[in-house]
Amino acid sequence: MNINKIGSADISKIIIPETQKEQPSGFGELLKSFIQDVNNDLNNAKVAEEQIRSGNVENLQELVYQIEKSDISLRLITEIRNKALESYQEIIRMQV
Amino acid sequence: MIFKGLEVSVTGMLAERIRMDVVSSNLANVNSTKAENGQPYTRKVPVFEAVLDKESGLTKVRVKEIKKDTDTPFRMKYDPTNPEADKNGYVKLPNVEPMKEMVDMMTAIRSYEANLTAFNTHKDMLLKSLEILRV
Repeated sequence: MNINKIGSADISKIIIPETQKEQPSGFGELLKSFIQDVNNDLNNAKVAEEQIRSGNVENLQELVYQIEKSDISLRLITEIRNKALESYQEIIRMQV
Repeated sequence: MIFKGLEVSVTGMLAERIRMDVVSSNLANVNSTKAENGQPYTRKVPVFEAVLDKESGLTKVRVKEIKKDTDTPFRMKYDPTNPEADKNGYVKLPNVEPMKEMVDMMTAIRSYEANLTAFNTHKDMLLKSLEILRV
């Protein structure tokens, strides 16, 4: 029962930004903040890696999680970039 | 936040790691006849607490405290040659039962594996979702 609740709450959260997109902050702004987030994650992962390398490990699980999180974020943003470039090239190839 | 599930799994793994630490402490001190209070070592038990994450409605886990098991009586062993023996020749040994600790250890590793599997499955789901974009 709880799981259903969480699922529906998440869906509403996903839908809300969709309607807010009409506000001045455009796709560029969105992408910019997203890139900043991913960059932050990558920096955290770098710190985590350094800590593991130096043996200064208090909480291995947390560090591995940071690294994994940054990996997934990076993959997502790479996919978005590829998709955007693909669309751009599709438009360029269009016959006028 | 798409990483919330992963975070919950991490807290689970952390809790099980602490449980394993406590088991190690108990097993290492199975014959310690003197602890800080003059009594033999007392078996330690971790107390887990559910922590509600209001943002997502999920519940994380954390180790609230590590309590002493004062209910189980100390083991008494007849060994008059031991310098710690009382006037009747009995030595008071810690209330740690290695068999019990072994079972705790197995519970810890299995729960840890369960959390790890949940983590990896969640990760696989996220990565599979990315394949939608790739077409």
